[in-house]
Amino acid sequence: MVDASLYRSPFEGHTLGERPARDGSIGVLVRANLVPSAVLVSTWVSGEAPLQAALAQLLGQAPPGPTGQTLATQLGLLMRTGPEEWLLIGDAAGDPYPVLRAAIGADVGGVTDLSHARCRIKVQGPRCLDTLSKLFALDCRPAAFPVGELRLSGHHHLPCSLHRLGETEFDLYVFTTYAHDQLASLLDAALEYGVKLEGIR
Amino acid sequence: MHDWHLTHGGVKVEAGLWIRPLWYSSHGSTLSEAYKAEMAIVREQVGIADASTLGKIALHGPDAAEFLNRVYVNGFAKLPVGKARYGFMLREDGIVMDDGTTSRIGETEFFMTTTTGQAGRVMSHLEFLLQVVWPELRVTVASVTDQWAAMSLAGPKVREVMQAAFPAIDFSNEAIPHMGVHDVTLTGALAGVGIRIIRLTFSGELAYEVYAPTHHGQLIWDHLLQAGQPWQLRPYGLEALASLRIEKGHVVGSEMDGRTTLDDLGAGKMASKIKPFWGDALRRSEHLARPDRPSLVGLEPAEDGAVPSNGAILFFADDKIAGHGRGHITSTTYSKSLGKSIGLGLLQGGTSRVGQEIIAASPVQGRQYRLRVVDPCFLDAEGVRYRG
Repeated sequence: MVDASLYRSPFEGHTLGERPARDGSIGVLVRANLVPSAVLVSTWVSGEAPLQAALAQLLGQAPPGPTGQTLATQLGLLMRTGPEEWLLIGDAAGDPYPVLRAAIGADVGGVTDLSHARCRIKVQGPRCLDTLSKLFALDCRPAAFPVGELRLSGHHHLPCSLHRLGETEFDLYVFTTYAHDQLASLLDAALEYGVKLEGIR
Repeated sequence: MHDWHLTHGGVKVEAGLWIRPLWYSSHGSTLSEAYKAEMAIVREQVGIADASTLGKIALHGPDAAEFLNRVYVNGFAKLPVGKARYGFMLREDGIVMDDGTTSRIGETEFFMTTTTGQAGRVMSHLEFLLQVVWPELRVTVASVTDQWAAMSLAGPKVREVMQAAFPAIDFSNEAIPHMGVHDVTLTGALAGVGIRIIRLTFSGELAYEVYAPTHHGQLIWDHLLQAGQPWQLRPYGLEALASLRIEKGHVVGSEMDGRTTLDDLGAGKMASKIKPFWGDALRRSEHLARPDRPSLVGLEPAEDGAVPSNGAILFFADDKIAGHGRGHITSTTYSKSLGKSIGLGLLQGGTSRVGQEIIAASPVQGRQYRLRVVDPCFLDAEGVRYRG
């Protein structure tokens, strides 16, 4: 493992603290972090069934089927991000990349480390949906975007994946390069509702 | 590394979706002053440039080599593990889409770099080919542009700097030859950080590209700068990078402008004659194979005060100066190494006109001046410098 002191966060430069709304309330809470690991598992047009089988054998359960579904596994959160691909977000100390590489042969699919390519912005609070609706053209009604599911979207032409953890709680997965400015956009959008940046890493 | 550039005199410029340092105010009070100083740093000592905006794509699968062989105009099927190769890819209509290098990391794993501006387009192109044209190929592609910070070190002293920065690695020609690729996990103070070193050049000097996981990018950048202090390692910006490549006659978006073919760019010989590749059929079409198409040339002043300017229209010496002319100037710079202004252009007849004088006209500037057609490679055509 690489020593934690050797990491630099794209969120550096943002200041922790709160900016209450006019009535003194805080409607949105935000945390922005590096992810311990992110691994893309993908295959080719004819490879979906063998890859699903390999993942099922490794995880002891079938991987999520339709795009947008997610599954908590012992290696981390497995998200179906598109045809023939899944993204695994690991939060434990162990690195799932070598595990996945060992389990998924070169003739079954590709395993790509994206741990430095993705960052996570956690957004929650009673005005969370109001804030996100300014940035993303997404239908966030529970029937259209149930808790536990993932939606791919973006703002200012920058991709973003939204994982719904609760009715008013989301994890946003953003590209590292633009993560600093995407956090700035989010904080700006939340300003009128009262916003608190609780942590960055 | 963005903040580092800003706090060390980097003057920003938009490049595609990115903001990059064009030049560093620590090297001069004006762009003109600074980029010439930065060119000299690279040609005479050693410089470092942030190349993180290069598009980067990871390819996996048993058919990845075959896929690349079909995508690039030149052969990739037999590229050995641990080696990189430069290549062009074409659009379906035979026009050049992009250039870049691809490294073979393992039997079924490749690492492609694209130009900054075409990264998204190339990624979409590869996905289209795999989903629609060749769905039988067992290949995956993933954008890893955000995964890797990249820095390019170039100059006659670069080997000493690299050896000082990474003493456990052998940087001899035998261990890491030109176009060699070396993945290594560092030890000591940087224990556990995995970097990728590719020996390739854009400036024409001996050069290495160092790829580091993004969150460690600043760390490696700082480490290299510190290790390079005895050789006065300093950063250089986009303007110097562009000028260095003009001296070598390397093409970029100014020449690969969505209208040019391989032959127009003087790269027709790279196209394989023994394997099919995407765009090969239509690049042979009557219009694209016409011998009077403008093609790449070098240009230098043929009279006092003649300074090539971008976009100027080119005419033969006995032409009437009117209309679209015989081509245009694509790139210009002042070459400190040669002590004169130079340029690249697309001209009917191309290098068959080397030695001839032509007229450049800029109706917007109201200027006309005489230029001499020369080979597009102005410096070290034999490649002695980069072979180290």
